[in-house]
Amino acid sequence: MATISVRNLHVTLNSHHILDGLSFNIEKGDIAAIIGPNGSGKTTLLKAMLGLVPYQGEIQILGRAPWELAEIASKIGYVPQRLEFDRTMPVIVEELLKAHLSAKNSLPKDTLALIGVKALLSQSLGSLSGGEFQRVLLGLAMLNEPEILFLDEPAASIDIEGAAEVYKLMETLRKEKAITTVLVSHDVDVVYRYANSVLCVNHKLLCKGIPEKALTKEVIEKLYGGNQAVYAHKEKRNV
Amino acid sequence: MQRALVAGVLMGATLSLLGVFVVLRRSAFFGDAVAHFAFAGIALGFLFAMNPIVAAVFVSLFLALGMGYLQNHAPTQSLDTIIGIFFSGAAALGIFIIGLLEGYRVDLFQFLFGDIIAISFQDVITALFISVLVGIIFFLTWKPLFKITFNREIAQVSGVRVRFYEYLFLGLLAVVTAMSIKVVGIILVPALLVIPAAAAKNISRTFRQMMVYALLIGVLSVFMGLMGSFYFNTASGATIVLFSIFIFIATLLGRSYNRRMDK
Repeated sequence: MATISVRNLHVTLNSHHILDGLSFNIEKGDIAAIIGPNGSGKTTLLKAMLGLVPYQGEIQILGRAPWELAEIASKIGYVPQRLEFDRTMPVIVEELLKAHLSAKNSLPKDTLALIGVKALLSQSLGSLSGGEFQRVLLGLAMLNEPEILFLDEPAASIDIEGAAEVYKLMETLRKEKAITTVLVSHDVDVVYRYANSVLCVNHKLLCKGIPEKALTKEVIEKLYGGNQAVYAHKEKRNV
Repeated sequence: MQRALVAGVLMGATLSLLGVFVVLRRSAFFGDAVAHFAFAGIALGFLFAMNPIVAAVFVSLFLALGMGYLQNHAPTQSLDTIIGIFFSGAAALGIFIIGLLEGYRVDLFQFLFGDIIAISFQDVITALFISVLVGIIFFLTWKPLFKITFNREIAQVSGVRVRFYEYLFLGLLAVVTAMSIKVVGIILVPALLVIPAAAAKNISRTFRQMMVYALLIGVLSVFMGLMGSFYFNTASGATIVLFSIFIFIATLLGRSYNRRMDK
């Protein structure tokens, strides 16, 4: 059984058809990238899978519908795209993590060390840099040792070095913990470097499969328009 | 005076604790609106010859939950707009009903500004009951409320029933606000809801510290305010709020001083 199964998914918000008849599977251990231009429905797709927006069709995450996810919440980790957070809120990292910990668990020090959050535990959230804050969010998502990570443009608000760090972490987590990752990105290069499966979305599903085969010149043109092309990267990663 | 001190300190502690989330969720305007719901409730209580505080509790609860419902189901309007509509509507309803009352009702003004002399033994018992009840609910629910305050979507994905806890918080806020009116007064309840928590935020590094400091500052403000009101023969609500503002300024100066020392 696929870890994530989506059948004939439609999402309409405020009378706008955002997603139209999407069907796909994501298998265990995949890093599946959802790509598409701005406003194509990538984030909405992720939110529908998490039960955060109303939808029509069928979605199964680890055999459960999105509205049943509360029952398996500890198996899901989520990093939203833009986190609206009051940086003056008096909270230290350890406090934030402990509040989100399942009752029976203790802080997973090894995982936090792997992500680079262990050294930040006593820091207040407001004092963290963009990259450090993003690592804390990843730590928060990893807190209860999830089976699936949903990452919505996890490097959007940080610099190039910080972004590379986040994606490398994602790759490490996949190798060390065999976590299935669903990654929203608008960056085709990121997809080539880190994903082993891709879903091209522009309101409809325009392609799916391994990036090298699915991302044809025609698909890229349909996604982004004009004379776009993709060239294979010399440093190929993890497939 | 002793009754006023006990009831005041209890309600001050409860309001300050709830105020932590009011301040962190940037919904101070909401506290104002709920206080005006209580005003409409008290006016209705007088109109129908009911206990005005009981009427205030029910009307506040009804309108606060109604406002929460509209917030979730009227996506074309911002939260500020919805609160503004309810705020104005409740104030207008209260004033309209006062117009219907025969003659000048001095009792109503006690509720506007607070009256420590009018606090009965029954009021003290009610304050104790409400404080203990809210304290227990707060102890059981602070974690999901904290998670929602940090980020609503992450909280929902982590299994928190976000709407349930948001309605529960609105309900608690409405009941405590209505119950505090006899001590502090409608006009000044929102201040006690916001100022101790805001002062605590100035000097806290952790969330736990903020909760403890808000509680202590709320209790201290009410205690000093009531003593001051007794000795200066001034309105209790105004004196309490002035004391809490004094503490807020002190924490603000303390924070600036510490920052300068750190540099």
